[in-house]
Amino acid sequence: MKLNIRSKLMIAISALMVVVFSVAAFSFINEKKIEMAEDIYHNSLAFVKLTAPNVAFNYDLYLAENSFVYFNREIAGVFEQNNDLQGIAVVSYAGEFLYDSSVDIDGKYEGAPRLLEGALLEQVRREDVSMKMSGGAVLSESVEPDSGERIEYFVVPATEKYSVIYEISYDNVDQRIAEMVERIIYLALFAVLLGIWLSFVMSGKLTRPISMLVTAAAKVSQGDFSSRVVLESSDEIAYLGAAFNKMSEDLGSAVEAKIFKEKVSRELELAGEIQRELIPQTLPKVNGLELASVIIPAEEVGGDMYDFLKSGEDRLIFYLGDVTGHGVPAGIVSSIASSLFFAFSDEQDLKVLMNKVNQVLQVKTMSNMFMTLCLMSWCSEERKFSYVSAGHEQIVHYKAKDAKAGLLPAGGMALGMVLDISTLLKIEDVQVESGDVLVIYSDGVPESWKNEKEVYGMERLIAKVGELGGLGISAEEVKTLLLKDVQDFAAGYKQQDDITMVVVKIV
Amino acid sequence: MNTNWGKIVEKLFYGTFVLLFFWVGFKLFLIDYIDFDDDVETVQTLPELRVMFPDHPLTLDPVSVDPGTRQRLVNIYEALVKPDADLKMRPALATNWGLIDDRTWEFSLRKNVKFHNTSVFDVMDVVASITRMQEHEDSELKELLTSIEELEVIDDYTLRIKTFEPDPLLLQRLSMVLILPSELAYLDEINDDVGTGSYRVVQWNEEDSMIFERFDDYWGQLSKFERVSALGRVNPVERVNVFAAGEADILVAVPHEVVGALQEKGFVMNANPSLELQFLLFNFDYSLGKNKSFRKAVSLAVDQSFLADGEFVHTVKQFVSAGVFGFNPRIAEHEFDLEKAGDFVDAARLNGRTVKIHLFKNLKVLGEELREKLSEIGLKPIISYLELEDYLHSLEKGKSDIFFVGFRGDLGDSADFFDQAVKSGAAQNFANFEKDYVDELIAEASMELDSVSRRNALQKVMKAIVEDELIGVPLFEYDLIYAFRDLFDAFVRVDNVIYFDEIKLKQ
Repeated sequence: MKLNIRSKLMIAISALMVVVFSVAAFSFINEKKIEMAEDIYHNSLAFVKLTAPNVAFNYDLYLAENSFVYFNREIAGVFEQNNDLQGIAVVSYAGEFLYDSSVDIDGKYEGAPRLLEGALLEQVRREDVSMKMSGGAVLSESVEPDSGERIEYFVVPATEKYSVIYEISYDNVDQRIAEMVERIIYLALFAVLLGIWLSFVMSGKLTRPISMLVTAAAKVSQGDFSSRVVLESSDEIAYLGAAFNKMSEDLGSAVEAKIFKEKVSRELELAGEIQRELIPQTLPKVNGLELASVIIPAEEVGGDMYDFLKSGEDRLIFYLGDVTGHGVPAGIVSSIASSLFFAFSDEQDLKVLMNKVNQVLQVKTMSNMFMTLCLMSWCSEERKFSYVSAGHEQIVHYKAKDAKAGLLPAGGMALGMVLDISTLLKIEDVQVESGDVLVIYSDGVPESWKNEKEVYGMERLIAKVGELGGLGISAEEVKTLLLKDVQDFAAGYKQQDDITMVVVKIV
Repeated sequence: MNTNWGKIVEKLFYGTFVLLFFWVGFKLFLIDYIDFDDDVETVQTLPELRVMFPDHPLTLDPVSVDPGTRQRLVNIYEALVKPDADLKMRPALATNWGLIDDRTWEFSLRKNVKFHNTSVFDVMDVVASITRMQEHEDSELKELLTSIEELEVIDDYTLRIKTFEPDPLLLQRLSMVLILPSELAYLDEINDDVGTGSYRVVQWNEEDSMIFERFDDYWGQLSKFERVSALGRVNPVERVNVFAAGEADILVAVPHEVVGALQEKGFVMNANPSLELQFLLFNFDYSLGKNKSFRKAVSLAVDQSFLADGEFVHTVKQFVSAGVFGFNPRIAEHEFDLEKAGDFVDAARLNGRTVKIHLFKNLKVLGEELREKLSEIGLKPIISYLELEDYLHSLEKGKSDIFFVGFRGDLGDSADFFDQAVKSGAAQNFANFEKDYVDELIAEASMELDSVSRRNALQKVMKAIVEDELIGVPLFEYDLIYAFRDLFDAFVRVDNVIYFDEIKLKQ
């Protein structure tokens, strides 16, 4: 059977009440029993010692002379003073019951002598007050009974002739205990009922907001993020309600953000596709060259770009650029640059072409957007490889003759910084031979991170190009193995920047 | 449908819970503060208490001490103090009292007490009532109050009573003085009840019944019975028949012969010493009475045993009942010896002397026994059986040599008997007995405050009038037997007076 919070709370509180009351009552009643028994002992002892001489005197004065009316009056007075007294007897030192309140009601006893025997006779003949305990022991008044032990009767030597026996009743104690027990039972019952009622009310206060929260949560789960709960209290439940409302609000915002992000992602994806369309889908066939290229953006849209602008079977102009930063702004700038190079591709002078593109970029893009770029040309007839660098990474040149890789000179200024960079640009002609390999790349290659401390680095790049160049493999294979080496080095560490490579092998 | 049943069960559960909660709370917190009349149900089934007495009241005037009259009057009037069941004096119209010196008592009177005629009780009512009892021509309490010297009014609710000599029995005496309103105390005769008691008389059918109604302005706790019928039947057969027919709830003075029969019928019986003693009294005004040999001869000729049944009727040897203070256990047993009695007659030359004996008409058994025995010893008894009124007249005028008299020791003290029936000139000294030394002994006993000395003095008086002076021949005492319908606690008082508001129904 499943119990709700309210039922559990009610059962728990009721059980707690019963246990607490039972333990407390048991302990309290036991203490009270002992306390009352001790009270009776002390009060009765003082009482019997005080009244015994008077009882004996009145016996002599009245009942010994048959005047039972006045004697009964005096005895009634004694009983009236002590509610714990059950019987009074007057006995002679010789060992005879002279008066017994339980039977000698209407006159002096006139029958055969009622003799005392055994231990009682011994008690009667003692000089001190003695008491017979319920356990059977006979104690002197100087010995205090064990805690809570009950007394059957006291024997008090009143005069040389008479002793008085006082029978003690614990009926009052038992009745008071019984009344106490009854009262405690009622109290426990009352507490249990009160506990049930309180737990009913309190659990209502607890479960009602929880029910409201459950309802609101169900609405949230169905996408209604406007669902709110109003809890008028100042306790934890109110905090929970406030937290729920905040959570609901945040969840709504998060979902909106997610949708927006998805939309942006889709747009970025689209932008990436568009950008990828700008990248040559096929490599041109140019005499004397083997080409291989790759571009791996760090995000959907990258800031790297390259393109081949073929102006004949024997001539090829191509470039590889890298816009500062990456992402959409860099992608837009690179796209603009790509379009510009395409538009000005009729220009044969690399410096002029570069400067034209620079001028447009400087004017049309943000002042903080720059682009490094290496613009290259190849003339198969002349077997001439030239390039103009606008602040781009140095080209790694593997010379087959030397079987060694090295860096070609750097130079120039990044595009978009100043309006005219013509004076800063220098065309470099590179003497190449068959088997040479030229690797043009963006900074994402040497700056490929393995961890937060170590990058791939130029040394490793140069060494790898040297190693691969010496293998006599195709440009495509060089590209593939070089890329693999870079990726192996990164070992899955997050790519921080776009990686772009163009591998040119002289054949 | 299920839902409806569920709601009904739920409402029943809540309703039961609320009821249980309030019931427990009520038992726990309120029950002690609500005065439940436990007897209400029983009283509703027994709205009227009916008591059958063996006598009729003679008057409503509290100057009378006739037992039958007093029995009714104590429920109508109140005294300053009231004896409880053991004859201990309790507050009634006096709330407290004490001795200023050996002879001066101070009484504080109860306030806010109303008489049945709506007048308010104060000290002047007490003064007027005591004075009336002392001075009224028909007062039978004169002897009882001779010890009072002066009444001193301190304020409206404080009275001092000064006695001629220290009077240890003053409270007992005052318990006999029923208080009237002062404005009525001067009347010669009181014909209407005007007490402060818990009942007032609403109807009085002489020779049949006196009907009481509860006095709702009573200062104390109201009686359970709104109405009480005090029936009276002198004829024992008639008395028993009325009771057995269910026309009475309590029968007082059950004839001994029918005790067994009533027990068999399921009535609850209770035998109580009557403290009433019957005896023959010699008339000392006549020569025969003055002759000690005559008195001795008659005493020896009386056979007590023929009157006693050993169960309810007991022979006695003195003029107060065993149980009364002053009873002298050392007085010898009565001697029955016709031969010795005859010798006394012969020695005193009383053979053939006529002995006049007046008896109440119901005492023919006793009369015939006396006739037989006195005849046997040579005397010539003439027995006259008289109506009550004539008998009382004969008693007061001393018209017989021997009377049959009874005396009830209502005060539980033999001084009562000596003061009223033995002291020279006492109103009920029907023996006309006068002896100075006896008077002196009585006076000594009445003044003595020390209980032992007073007891000894009273016992001396008893010995003097029984053994030395032979003022009469003690005959017997009897137990007064009550029969109750099994509705009541069979409670009887030592003085055998029935206070209607003390009758308790069984729980």
